[in-house]
Amino acid sequence: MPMALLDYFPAGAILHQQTRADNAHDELMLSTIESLADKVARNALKSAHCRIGKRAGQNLFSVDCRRKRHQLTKSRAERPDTHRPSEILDTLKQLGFGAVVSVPDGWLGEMLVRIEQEPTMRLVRATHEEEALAISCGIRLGGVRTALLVQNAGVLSMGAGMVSLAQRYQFPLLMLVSYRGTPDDPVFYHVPKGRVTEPVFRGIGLSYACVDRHRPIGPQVEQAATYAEEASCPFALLVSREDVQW
Amino acid sequence: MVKAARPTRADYYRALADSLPPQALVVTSLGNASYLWAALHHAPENFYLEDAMGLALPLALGLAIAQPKRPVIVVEGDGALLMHMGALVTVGAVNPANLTVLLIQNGVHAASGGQALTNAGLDLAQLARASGIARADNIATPEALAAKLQGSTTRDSAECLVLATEPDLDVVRPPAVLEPVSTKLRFMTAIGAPRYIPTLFGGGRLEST
Repeated sequence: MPMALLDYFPAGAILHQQTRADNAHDELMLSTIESLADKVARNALKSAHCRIGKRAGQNLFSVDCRRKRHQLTKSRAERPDTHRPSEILDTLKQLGFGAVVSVPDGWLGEMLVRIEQEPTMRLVRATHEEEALAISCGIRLGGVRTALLVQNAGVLSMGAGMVSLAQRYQFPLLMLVSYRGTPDDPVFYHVPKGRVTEPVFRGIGLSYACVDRHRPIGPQVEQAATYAEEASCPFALLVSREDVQW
Repeated sequence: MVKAARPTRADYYRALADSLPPQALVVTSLGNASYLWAALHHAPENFYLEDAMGLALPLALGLAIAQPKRPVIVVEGDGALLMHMGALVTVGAVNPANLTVLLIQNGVHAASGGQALTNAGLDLAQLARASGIARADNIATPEALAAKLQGSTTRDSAECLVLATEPDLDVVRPPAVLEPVSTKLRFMTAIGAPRYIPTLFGGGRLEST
């Protein structure tokens, strides 16, 4: 199941093992404790969602990412120690991504400008997301690792190409998808798109995960890219504003 | 423009097969665009689309970007183009010199039985020029197509050739099943595309073998 893919040990837990052996600094220990507390909170929320879902007869997973995003404590997110959009760009470069195909939205615009300035990456600005998907498939067919940067609304409008081209021919594509219409997205008209995003992804068989804002973004991008290659399919990582807005 | 007494798709395909530039990669749209090309000139360097209407052109654009040293020829239909006309604008913006777009203009949705197009009489060459593809011409004979292909090796921008074509509604039987994943892997092997090399805990890379 896609959600499980990125749900490894929290970064803080691994850090805890390493630093205790080295008499780690108190601040790092505090960070670890906070991370574990976040993990406990997430599990409690997940459990609560299950109970709510069973009682109401809902599809549990249609609300999973959005609820967590809205309700979790923001203590870590409010003082990020890295610039997450930079981390995404650095990860794409490190993994050898030679091309990015995009139809922009308000969150992605500046990142695209940065990609355009990268000497090792080629940015293609498409007119429509289904077209962008096909361009990505063509670039990957030609042997260049490719990422697709679009808004979730764009994935809603690329359904036919997703199943009849990308999935039928098994193209491995990393999709970084801005998750608009979540409770913390201030633009009200995105709400209808946010509400149906994950159900539609599951309906068209698109593997995906939601970024965990309490973990570094780079490893999550790498895991998504690895999944796409090893499963030979597109994989969508739903990202939030602080992940991609420069 | 669509006029009377037009050549058939097979007429153009024979001219294409005889005039293919060295190292050319060919992407074909759904229906007879793929089936007939497979029947006449099957090669590992062919990428056949079935279904995915309107996506042959953008896929070929991506391929041309990734393989800038090899000529890329895409055969797209007029109905498919109308479905994703924006792709023409993107081709005009990127303007890869190694991309040749062959538009079969037969005025109908041939692959689905010959239904009328929304507008069968468009000047698609003019549309291509307006989209930023300066080299765009209407072609009426296989000989004219051959001449264009033979002169296309030295150009510095993409080219779009609109082929006035008689509709072919009878579905051609391809020489073999065009299994999609086999088509892709055969193509990537033929061009020596780098392969993904996994590592035990992720972080694999594309590497040439």
